[in-house]
Amino acid sequence: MEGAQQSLQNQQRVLAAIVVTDAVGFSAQMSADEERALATINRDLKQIAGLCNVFKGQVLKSTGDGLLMCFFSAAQAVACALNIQKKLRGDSKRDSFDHRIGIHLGDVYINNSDVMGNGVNIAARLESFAAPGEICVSQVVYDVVKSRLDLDATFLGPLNLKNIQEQVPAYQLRPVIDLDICDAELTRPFFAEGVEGYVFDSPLDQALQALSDHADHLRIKKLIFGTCQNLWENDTTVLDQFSLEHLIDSLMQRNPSVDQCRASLYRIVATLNHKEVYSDVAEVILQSLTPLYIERAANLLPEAHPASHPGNSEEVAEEVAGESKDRYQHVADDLEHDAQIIRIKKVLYCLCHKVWETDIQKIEQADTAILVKQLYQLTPTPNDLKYRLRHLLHHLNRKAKYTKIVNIIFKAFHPLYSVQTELIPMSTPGLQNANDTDSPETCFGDLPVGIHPDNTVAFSAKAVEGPPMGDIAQVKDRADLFELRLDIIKYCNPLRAKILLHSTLYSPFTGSSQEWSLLRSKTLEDFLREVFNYCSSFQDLESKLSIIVHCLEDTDENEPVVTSILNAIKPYYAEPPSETTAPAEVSRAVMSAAVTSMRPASYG
Amino acid sequence: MDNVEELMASYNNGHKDFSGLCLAGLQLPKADLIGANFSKADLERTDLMFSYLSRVNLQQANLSHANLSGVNLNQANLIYSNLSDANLHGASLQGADLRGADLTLADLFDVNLADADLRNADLSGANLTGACLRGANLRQELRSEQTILRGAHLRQVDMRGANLKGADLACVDLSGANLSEAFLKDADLRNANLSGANLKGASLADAQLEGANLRYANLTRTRAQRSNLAGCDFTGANLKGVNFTDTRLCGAQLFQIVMVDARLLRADLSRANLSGADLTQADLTNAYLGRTNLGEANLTGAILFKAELSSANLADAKFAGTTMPDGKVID
Repeated sequence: MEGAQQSLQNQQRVLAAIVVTDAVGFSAQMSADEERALATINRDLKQIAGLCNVFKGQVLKSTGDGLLMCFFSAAQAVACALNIQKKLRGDSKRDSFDHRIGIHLGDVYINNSDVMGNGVNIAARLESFAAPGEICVSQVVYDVVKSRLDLDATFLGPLNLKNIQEQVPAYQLRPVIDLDICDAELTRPFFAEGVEGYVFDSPLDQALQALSDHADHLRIKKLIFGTCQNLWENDTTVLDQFSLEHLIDSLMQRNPSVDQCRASLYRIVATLNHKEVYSDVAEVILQSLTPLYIERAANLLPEAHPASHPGNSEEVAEEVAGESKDRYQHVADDLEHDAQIIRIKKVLYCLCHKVWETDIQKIEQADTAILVKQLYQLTPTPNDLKYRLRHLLHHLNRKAKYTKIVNIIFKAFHPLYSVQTELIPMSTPGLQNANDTDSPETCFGDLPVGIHPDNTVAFSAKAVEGPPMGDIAQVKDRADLFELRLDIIKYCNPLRAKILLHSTLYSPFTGSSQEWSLLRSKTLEDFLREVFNYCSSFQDLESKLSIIVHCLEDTDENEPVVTSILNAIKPYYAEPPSETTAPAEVSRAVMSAAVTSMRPASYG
Repeated sequence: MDNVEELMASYNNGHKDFSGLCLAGLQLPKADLIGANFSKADLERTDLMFSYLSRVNLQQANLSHANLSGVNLNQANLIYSNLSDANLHGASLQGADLRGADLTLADLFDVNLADADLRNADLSGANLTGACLRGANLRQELRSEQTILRGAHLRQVDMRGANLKGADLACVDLSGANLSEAFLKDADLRNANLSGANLKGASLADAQLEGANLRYANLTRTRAQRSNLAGCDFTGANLKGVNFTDTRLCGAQLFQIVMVDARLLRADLSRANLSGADLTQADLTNAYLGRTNLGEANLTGAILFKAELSSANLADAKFAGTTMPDGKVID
């Protein structure tokens, strides 16, 4: 990437994805309220530029009400555009402009401040064909990214663009606002640091500034992430996807007081190897967050107890509790109208109790409102909910079916989050008890233990005899990897495969001499064996590889390599368990004929 | 031609003949030069990392010390090219023609040489660790010409079905290599390290394996007629159904080995250690077992007809249904 950026500085012809944005109705707004229009556009452009940075693009120039950006990967360009549209449209509460975006992939002539060439003209013309809030991409771009991203695309046919001689076939892309699993890796909201900070005076900004400027900022983030998710993550590419602001937010919502926050942080510190180092880190975090807690307490008091006499504060709390209970009931009612309520409840139950319950009676007996409440307390922000839903979905077999279920749940939970600003969860009774939300039992981080593919497939193969199991594909033997090696290198470059695996296992490859010597000390087979140890499931590897490919140079070259690796390695992983291969279910299936009749389609 | 732009411009204009030119030391990473002709060109120390060079003609070109890591040289013509000390780490050379090429000390780590023609090539001292040579041809054509792999590193190499007839593999490290169905007739594997190697169904007829390390190797149904296996260490190896007819196995370490259904006709097993070995149904007709240690060996159903057993150690050996040297069957 550095080399590519360097070449940008010099005037030269490069192949790049050009992204052009334009605000709809900017001039009209300008004539109506100049100051407000300028403030809004500046904020929008700042946000777009921030996202452009996140996706490794470069802002080449501003056109006043839009930006001209350049990316070295078409997939990154499209992912960035989708995020821009999602971010700016999803924010319906604050006024922002609708933006049109055009993307084209072509040869352009670039120097450090400007870009010229037919490619730019086409991108600009395509932008004018885009509907407000949508994206118009040329066929070239679409062809490059269609295999990677599941897009909501409409073919517009060959377009006659002004001053362009040949017709340009183009597609209109709509950002999928709902939780979309297929392209989750690329279009999951990026809450990148710095993107959202407009005002730099609030205690939150000061805390953010202090923490992100701290020499130990990576450890700080790891510890906060670990405390929020109850899951230790060392991979910076994963951490990068969670903004510090977002993490601090969920940390504070789970821990209404400084003391509770301290307890939560130290509970994680106690499980770590470098306890002394992380105790210091915890203190740094607490020091920065204390003013925030003071500010929140000050803001809360008049709101939470508006007209309360010291005597009847309990009454008020009950009132608030009752009100919030209604909210959960409301969501529950909403869900119970759905024909798929059993599946919905199964997902809710699993997220709350981290067990895939297949006993229909138990599911039916569980109170939907209580499940909704529990899940809401586990996921104080929509992003948390999304994270957990996606995590679960990765472990289910019937993805298509459950993607719908998960989307229904995500939608139904919307009202809870949208009123969050008025009804701060701190005042809800469940959260008074910090243990409730933070104890490992209720945290979802270690879900795979219960329904881990290795456990269940081996178990189910033993437990169920007879023809139905015969259809299940045999997991290939990992003792002999010659066939796997050949399958990988038959269609792709062995060195690229090694670099990708190295990046997945360690850190994105930068080409340093140490990395080269490591690459020479291990064979492809050695790396594959490490991958088997590192990634317990195929889905795990798939998501890690898809993320890492965007952190390396030559994304377009590496993407086919990722596909080759994944296709070749898949037979060496056990199939993820479907709902009926969970151990509890299988043992029951043997005993009860009623449950066996629910065998998933893949069996027969 | 000393200018990268000039070269690329002329290639992009359809000019593909760069034969005999001096292009030494040029920086051409990721260059697309598919199908170009560089025969007899001087490309010493040229950087061609990740370049696309499929079907390129590099016959007799000088590529010594060149950086060819990650290049695509599929179906390229590299006949008699000089690749000594070149870096080909992770390169793809599927179906490339490397006849007579000089690859001494070349770095061929994890390289894909599937179906490549390496006849008469010199790979001595080359690092082929993890390389794939599946179906590659390393066959010796003439007495005077043979593929030399002496001292090469071949750990984890994939040589399934490769033709290595008469190849010089003395002292190589082939540990963990897959040589199943490989053709190793007349190959020189003296003192080679074949520990953990897979030689299932391979042909080692007339091969020289003196002093080779075959610990934990898989020799199921391997054919090794007339080969010299004197002093080989077979500890933990699997020798089920192996064909060791007319072999020299004197002094070999075969302690507790499983040799069920093995063919050991006329084999020389003098001073070999077969104690505790399982020789069920093995055919040892006419074998020479002078001072062989067969203590506690299982000879159930084995044929020892006309075998020389007079000085062998047969203490506690198990005989049941065994055909003895005189033709009598012990019940």
